[in-house]
Amino acid sequence: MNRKRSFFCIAAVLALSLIMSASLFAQDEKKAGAELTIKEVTQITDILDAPEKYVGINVLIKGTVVDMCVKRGGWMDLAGDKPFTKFKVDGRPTKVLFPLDSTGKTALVEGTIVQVIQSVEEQKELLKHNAEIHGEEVDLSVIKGPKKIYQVNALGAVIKQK
Amino acid sequence: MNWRRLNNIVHRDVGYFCVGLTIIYCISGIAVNHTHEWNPNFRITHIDMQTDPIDESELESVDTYRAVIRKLNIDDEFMNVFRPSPDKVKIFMQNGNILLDIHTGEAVYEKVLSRTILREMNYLHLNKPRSLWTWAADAYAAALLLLAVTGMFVLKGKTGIKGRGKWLIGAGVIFPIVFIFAYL
Repeated sequence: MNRKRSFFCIAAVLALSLIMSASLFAQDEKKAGAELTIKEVTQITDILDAPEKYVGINVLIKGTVVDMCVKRGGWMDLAGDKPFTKFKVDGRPTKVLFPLDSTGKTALVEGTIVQVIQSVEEQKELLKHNAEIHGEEVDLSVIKGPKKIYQVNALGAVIKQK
Repeated sequence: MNWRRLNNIVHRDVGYFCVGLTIIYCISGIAVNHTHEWNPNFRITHIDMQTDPIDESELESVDTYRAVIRKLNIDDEFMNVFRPSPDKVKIFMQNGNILLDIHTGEAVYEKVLSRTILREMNYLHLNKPRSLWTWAADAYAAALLLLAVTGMFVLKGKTGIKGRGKWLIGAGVIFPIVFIFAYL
């Protein structure tokens, strides 16, 4: 009787584990943060053309993830709809971490447009961090002084896997 | 059955059950504790390569990028492409990317390999799955608390909590407090 009960307990734990892990297999998309609520996508180049207009506004943007923090997934750069443009998505202020295998995939991100003044020290840290990730030489001569940038503080994101 | 016998049974059986998860959390814990020194999820290497320059007219076609991947003998699949500047193109693949200068053909292949098993351990430890795993992880934390409490009462006498046990428990409580005062 005890052997049957033990077998039943082990089988129940394994079955429960399989059910719980079922959602991990073959996902079409991965999510981060809160569910997306905005339906209409705002083009990244529209934001880049007049960023002050969007400060404080919640938007939904879409683009290919062209760079990201691959250690913790705290930030991503999304490609704009026009060539040579990209836009930063920051999950650190809102405690949103993006899936670490998002590079090269299409992302939908909902968040608030903010204006950030990056100090010279912050720019140096960022350039060194990026250079370390990509195995590049650091070129600090591009830093001219404090820089005003615009970014999305992410509330939620969906990364398409295919 | 007296309470100590029950305590010891619970400690033994919960302990056995927690072996697997404890190993996962320990290994992952050490790995992510050193994130400032290494990447605990991916092994990233950079390789300088050379291929043919690409004409602007060819940049619209996905076949161009597939050809670059083949020419560089990279065993990977094309996924996407981005132009960070007029001179450069970044080709994304399943396990890495190529930053290519279209005028010179100079390329840097960034190979990204997942640290298999360790990455999955980190995935669980850092609660990336969320949803039901959050509850499972909470249950494991409760099991560890149960192990800590029952562990204090497993033995009797000189080796029990009334003997050496109280000194070691005290030292274990003071140890993190010292660090809090030192660093906070």
